[in-house]
Amino acid sequence: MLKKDFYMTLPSYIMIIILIPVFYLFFPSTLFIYIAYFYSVIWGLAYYDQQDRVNIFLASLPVKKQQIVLARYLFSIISGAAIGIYCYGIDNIVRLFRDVDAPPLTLETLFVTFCIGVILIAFGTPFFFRFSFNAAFGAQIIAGMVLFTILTLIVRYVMLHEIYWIIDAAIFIFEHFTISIGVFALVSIIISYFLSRTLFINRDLA
Amino acid sequence: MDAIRLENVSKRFKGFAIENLNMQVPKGLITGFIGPNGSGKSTVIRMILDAIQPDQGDIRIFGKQNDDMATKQNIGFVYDSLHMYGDLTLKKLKSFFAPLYPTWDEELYQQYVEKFELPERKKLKKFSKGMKMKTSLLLALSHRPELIIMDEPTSGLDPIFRRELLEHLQELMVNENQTIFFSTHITQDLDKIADYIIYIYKGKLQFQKTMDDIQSNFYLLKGAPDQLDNDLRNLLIGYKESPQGFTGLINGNWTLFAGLEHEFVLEPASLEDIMYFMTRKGIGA
Repeated sequence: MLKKDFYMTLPSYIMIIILIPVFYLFFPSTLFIYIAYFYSVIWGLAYYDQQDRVNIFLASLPVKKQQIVLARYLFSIISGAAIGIYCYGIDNIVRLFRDVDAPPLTLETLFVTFCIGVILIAFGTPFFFRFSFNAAFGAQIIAGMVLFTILTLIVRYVMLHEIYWIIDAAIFIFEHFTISIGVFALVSIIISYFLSRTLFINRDLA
Repeated sequence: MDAIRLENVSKRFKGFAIENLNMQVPKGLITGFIGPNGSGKSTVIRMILDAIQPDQGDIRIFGKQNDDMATKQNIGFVYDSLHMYGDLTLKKLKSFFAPLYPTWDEELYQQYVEKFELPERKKLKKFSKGMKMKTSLLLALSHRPELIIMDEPTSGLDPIFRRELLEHLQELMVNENQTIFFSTHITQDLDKIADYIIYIYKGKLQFQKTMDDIQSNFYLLKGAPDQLDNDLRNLLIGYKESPQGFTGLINGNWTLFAGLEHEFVLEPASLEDIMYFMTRKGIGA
């Protein structure tokens, strides 16, 4: 299952391997490309799944449906980690030869960016296991907007009513940002996987 | 033991439902699954192949649940389309498909690649409809499954490859003793090779019989317009009237017309005749 996702994303890998060093000529940091890559992997694979109605074929193979879901998550995370390591290597190599305005890509920055990518995967993937590609696109935008609105309202409410235990907790999280985002990424990807699994098992692949 | 057994299987969609479907596909035979377009054949096959979940009921393959991994390894499936990434080549497709089947026979695979004249390094999206069907068949057969399930494998194929495919299926039955279950609305395909027929219409089972039973029970009755009285109408499963006469389908009770050969014409009904008249049950025109 991992192999098929690898074959399908191979052209984009080649493109990103070429593009990342080239981008250093124009932009000081490649982190935004890295995050964009992370999110585009699940979009790209979901698009191909839909275009060729591949899930009908996969469901009929001697593999459990949860394995199909797990493979998609594992592939997204492994490929994201691999590209992250590549970005880190390129950043260090580029800095040997020329000055770069942006601060160097440290392992900590790389880890935080990787976690942001994992959170994006955790957010986006269940939609593709439940809906068609276009419906998933719309649902993600709506869900994103709803989530943003709810978070804004919560923050405003907390600040307005000065709920100190939440403010203290938020300060604690920001003081330990790297660990916090790591834990949040881990928890969200686990929840996301189980949600996707349930959605996919009960979905009719017509 | 039956190769496939469905018990009280129901599935409801908007505007269409399969209700309490009970059917059995006997082991070691070629079973044709017939019905007009939209009668639920593909839905039933997708339920058997675990792509659609029934709302209720039980689906067994060789006595085991249809999502059992060992059972799935024993099934070769062919859908009406390949349903695989168009950007993959056959070689890449095989590289992730073959390891899923412990009984994968690489030598047999290579024989079929040669026989079907399939290019291994060409992208699947550049394959013709016939080549895609051959690819499905190649993958389905190369792990020597006991059961082959096919959904409309001959639709959209040119007549030459259709005939070749049917001949090949017959060869498999003779040489490998496999069970073949395939849906089609091209009933002429089944007249040639099927041993057993399951007919569904509007999501309901109409009958499941051996070809011998069908051939000895279903007859077309033809006569003059004035011979078609109410008693005869009630006897016919379906009929068609024209100024020149009527044609109707009878099931089992053809002996009623023995000795009346000079008044009526009685001839064996083909599967197409049966399907046509059974969809016109009690209609007449």
